[in-house]
Amino acid sequence: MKGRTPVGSVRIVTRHEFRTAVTRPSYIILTAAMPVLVAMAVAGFAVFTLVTREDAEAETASSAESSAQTPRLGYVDLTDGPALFGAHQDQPGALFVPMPDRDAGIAALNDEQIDALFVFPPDYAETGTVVRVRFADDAGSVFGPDGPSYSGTLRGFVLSNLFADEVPVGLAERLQIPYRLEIEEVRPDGGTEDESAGFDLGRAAFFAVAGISLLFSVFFSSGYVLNALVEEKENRVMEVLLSSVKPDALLLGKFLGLGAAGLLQMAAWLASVGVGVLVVGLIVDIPADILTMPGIGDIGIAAGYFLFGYALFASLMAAVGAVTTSLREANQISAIVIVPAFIPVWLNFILFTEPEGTVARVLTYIPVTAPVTGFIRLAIGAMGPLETVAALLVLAASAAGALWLAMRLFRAYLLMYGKRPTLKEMARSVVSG
Amino acid sequence: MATLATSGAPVRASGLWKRFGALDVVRDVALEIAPGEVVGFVGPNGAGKSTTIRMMLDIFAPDRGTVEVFGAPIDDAARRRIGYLPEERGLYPGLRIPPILKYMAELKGIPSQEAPGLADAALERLGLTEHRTKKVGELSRGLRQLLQFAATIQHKPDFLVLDEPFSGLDPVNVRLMKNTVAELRDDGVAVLFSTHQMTDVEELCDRVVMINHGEIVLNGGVREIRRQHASDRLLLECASDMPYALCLPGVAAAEMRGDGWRISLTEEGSAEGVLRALLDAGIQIERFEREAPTLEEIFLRIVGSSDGNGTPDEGTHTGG
Repeated sequence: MKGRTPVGSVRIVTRHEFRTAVTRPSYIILTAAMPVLVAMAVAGFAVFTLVTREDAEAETASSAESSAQTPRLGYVDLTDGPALFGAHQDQPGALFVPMPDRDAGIAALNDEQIDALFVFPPDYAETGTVVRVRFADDAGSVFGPDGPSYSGTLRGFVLSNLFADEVPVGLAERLQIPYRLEIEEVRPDGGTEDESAGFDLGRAAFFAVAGISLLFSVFFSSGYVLNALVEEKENRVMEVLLSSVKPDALLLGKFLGLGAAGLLQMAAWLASVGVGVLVVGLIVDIPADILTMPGIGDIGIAAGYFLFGYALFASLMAAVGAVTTSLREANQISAIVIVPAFIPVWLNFILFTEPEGTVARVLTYIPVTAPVTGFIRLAIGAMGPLETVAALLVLAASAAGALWLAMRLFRAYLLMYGKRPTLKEMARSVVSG
Repeated sequence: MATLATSGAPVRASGLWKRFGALDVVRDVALEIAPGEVVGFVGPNGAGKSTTIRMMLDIFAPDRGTVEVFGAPIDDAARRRIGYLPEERGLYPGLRIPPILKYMAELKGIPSQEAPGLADAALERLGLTEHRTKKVGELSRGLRQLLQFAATIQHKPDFLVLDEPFSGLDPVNVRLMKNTVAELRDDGVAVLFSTHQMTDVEELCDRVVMINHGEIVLNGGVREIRRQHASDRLLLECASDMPYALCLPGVAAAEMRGDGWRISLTEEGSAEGVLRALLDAGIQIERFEREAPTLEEIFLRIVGSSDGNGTPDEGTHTGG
């Protein structure tokens, strides 16, 4: 029989917990769910894009075709004096064709040489009246009972001809579209805010994904530790194991094995999202920043937040599992750990509007809110290197403290069945070791 | 403090003391088991049996006292030579048998490539081979119990601790387990056997240790203890009527019971004197024996002579 070191015990427990976790149907289904959802979403997006692209191409082709068959609008100028409408007959979207008289216009309309006929009567200058002549049976067109009104085109035609030679060409356009309103926001000192200055879209996306992943890991990975501990107490396996392995090695093995299973699940989800983004990038243009690999420093910061964050929450969950006696009770009490992790999400409006304010800074150093707050502030570029390092050190120390606490409680209450200790009893157990 | 001087024992505990809250659950307990010895560990509920066992296995640290396993304080090397079947026991109901046994064997230091062979041998020994591909949750309670026993002995321990091993088993499987324990004992395994069933102790154990209120109140060989607690009563059956039993020398009282007499001796009386008087009188004797109490009677007598209730174990923990 070969020897076995405490490290060997941890390795055996780690491997067992990992294997057991990843072969559970619930784990497999949950892990596969994200890639399947991403694949479905990408496929749906691809189909939608292809369909809309075909529509757009068809529309473009139709537009090109229609531009080749620009509507010809006939007009009869019956006004006295020099011809008012002879200078600008070629208008955007239509060609105005002069007709010698009303009858010739009607004949052309009937022969479909023109698409519409407008008559400027002799008193046009006084009344502004323009008569559109159409056939009575034109009702029922897809454009309405009167077919296309060409009112915008007609307006442009009239204006451009009335002011021909009176105003410059550019000013004539202003007559048709007098203004386009734009708004500029300035500071009281007259300077302008440029919100995009210094904002790194790729970095923001990276930390946003990391933060979301951490929230998921709080739910899943650390939850696995809680469930495994309580299940072993419920199944009465604990005492059997404790005759073979020390409590600390058992807890550490669970911590590592289930953490690895949770992180593997997270990696699978992130990889599927990454592949999904790349595939979408092949279909449509995505800002290049998002597809750029983040820097080593950012990866290190995210890894630190992620690992220390996982260690903190998994340790707190283990502590909950150590002092509870049933899965139901454990899940209820675990809310005490999970809910604070979401405080930065609920207060996101404060973090986004005042990323360097008091609330943001305080949440950065409270262990249970630190990881998510850190990711939000890093995403919007509101944390300097020194503050980041300080926050990570505080988080690491908190995670170590939580693990120590969990081990103490685990040792004290590992064989407790049926009764939850009081806070006073727990405090005494932690102090006495 | 009680001390034991024997060396080289698979387990030797001395002066063990454990307090939970304001209660001394185990007080000055000394216990030693020799190789190839089966020791019955008995006592009322809450007497401190499970706590003592847990201290011996380093699951609980004693407040005072020492435990040596195979001549040294318990460590990982010693731990892998122990097999423990606790009273509060269970396995993973959702897992199949092979990976569970492999995990348990690996925790005992068995290389992973050797574990399946040992598991198969243990399953075969306990008649569980046909169930080996099942999940634990698919087994009956009795089969789960046998499976746990297989997990406990598969790595061939040198020191075996069995806490109420037969509860929930049918007579056939009880016999199977008893035979297996006897075989292990014959192979030199030291066995600590905690139970409430005194008949099992009488059948299996070489020695009995009784604990009450956290203290050892009885420790010795089973026959020796029964002899020590033998009463001053005789059981007598004769082939012919014997109407004058009360007239025999040294007899204080005589009571007809069934086919014979139950005779109480005076302080000066002796069994030898009575027997001689009967033979001299020409009485044909079919049965003549000193009434020896069963372990159960001794147990009840000892426990009853205190308050009849054991000291409750730690409030939040199970076992006795």
